[in-house]
Amino acid sequence: MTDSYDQKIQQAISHLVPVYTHLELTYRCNQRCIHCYATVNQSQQKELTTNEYKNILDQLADLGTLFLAMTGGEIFMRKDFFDIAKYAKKKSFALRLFTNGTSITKSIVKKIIELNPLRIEISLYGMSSKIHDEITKISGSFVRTMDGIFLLSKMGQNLTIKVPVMQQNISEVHLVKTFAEENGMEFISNPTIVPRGDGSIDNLQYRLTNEQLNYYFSNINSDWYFKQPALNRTLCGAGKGIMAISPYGEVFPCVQIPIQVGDLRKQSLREIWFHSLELEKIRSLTLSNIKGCSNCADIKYCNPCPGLALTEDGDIYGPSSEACRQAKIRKIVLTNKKDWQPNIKIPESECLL
Amino acid sequence: MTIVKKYVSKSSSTASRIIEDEAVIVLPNISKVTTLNKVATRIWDMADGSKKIFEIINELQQEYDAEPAQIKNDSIDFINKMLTENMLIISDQPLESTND
Repeated sequence: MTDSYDQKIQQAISHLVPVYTHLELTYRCNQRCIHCYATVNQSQQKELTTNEYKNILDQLADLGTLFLAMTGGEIFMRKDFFDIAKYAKKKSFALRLFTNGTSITKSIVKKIIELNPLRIEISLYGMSSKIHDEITKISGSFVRTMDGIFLLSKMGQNLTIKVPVMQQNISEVHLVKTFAEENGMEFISNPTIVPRGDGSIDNLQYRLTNEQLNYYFSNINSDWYFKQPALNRTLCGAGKGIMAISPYGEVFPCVQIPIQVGDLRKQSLREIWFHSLELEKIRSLTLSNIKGCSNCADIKYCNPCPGLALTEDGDIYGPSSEACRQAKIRKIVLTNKKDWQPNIKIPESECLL
Repeated sequence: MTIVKKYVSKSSSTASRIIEDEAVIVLPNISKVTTLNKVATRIWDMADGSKKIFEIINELQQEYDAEPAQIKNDSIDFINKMLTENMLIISDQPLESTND
């Protein structure tokens, strides 16, 4: 057997095999998380039916998708979730299930076990009802999520605890990390709150302040892989090794880039994937296309996201202001030095009298 | 009954995809992944529960330029390893493929 998995995946992505697909089943949710980017469709579109999803799964398997994230909204809001998921298992996808964990019962766990998922990823915002419920806006959600986590863990499922980090929960993120590590669960945290799907940016007010971000990079997530990218390096796998599909059959290069490249109710996936002009443009994005990034002193501390640049700053060919902010603070933390400000000006003196 | 007379199929505990002629196999319950070379991928692809091992070996001996005995021995070795790793299963009866 060969032992070159990473090489194989990189090769596949370079040949436009969409190894990872993010399949959204619904935007409906039983929580109202203050930061969430998913917004219920306002235009009265109908969600894809069970059979439409099965057809899409056939097409994804044919194109080469192996890792399938099933997400929402909240996946268990769909009554046909297990019909779709069982079909996905039959088609040999490695499944990742994203859930808030509040609907997990013993009978649901038994059905989940039959799916043999790679991971179940659960959002947990703190280690107290006060913090967690303040974010979900649903009283009692912390207790239900913790019940779900313990039930799944007891039944031997691989769990990932995910924490979007914001001002409301920065005080308890370290407790969630400890909880996950002590219980043999993977821990993932992310301070990047992104604009909502309907374009609104009111949730960005919850982002960490600079001081809080400094604390986060210093104490919670100090891992960083340094990269001095080549100018012709493609920015990410969006539209090459990754795609996202909405509950209405809309195809996107990834969940962060709201540029629809096709409609599966009107076209085949193969036709979209290999013939969309919009997709072609996104695939050709390199660092050299992004204004200001190619000669930026902080680039090796940066995780540029064209999706965020588009949704927050309005220009997919521009830098993401949030990525810039995080890079500057990450640099300070990792090098223990601040940016030098040239052209220091002496302010005009004020009269004391 | 020797192993070659048994039906062989992919285990339902695997997820896999053939990407550019090579199989990538995931074992979700232990979070492991492996890739197979082209010959091993051919065996993996034929392991759909409808063929006995000797039938798979016969097809390989038609397709590949090597001594038939070497093809047989290498194939059986490979299948035994995959059985040990719980990626393949064998049965006296045809197996309904649980993984497409």
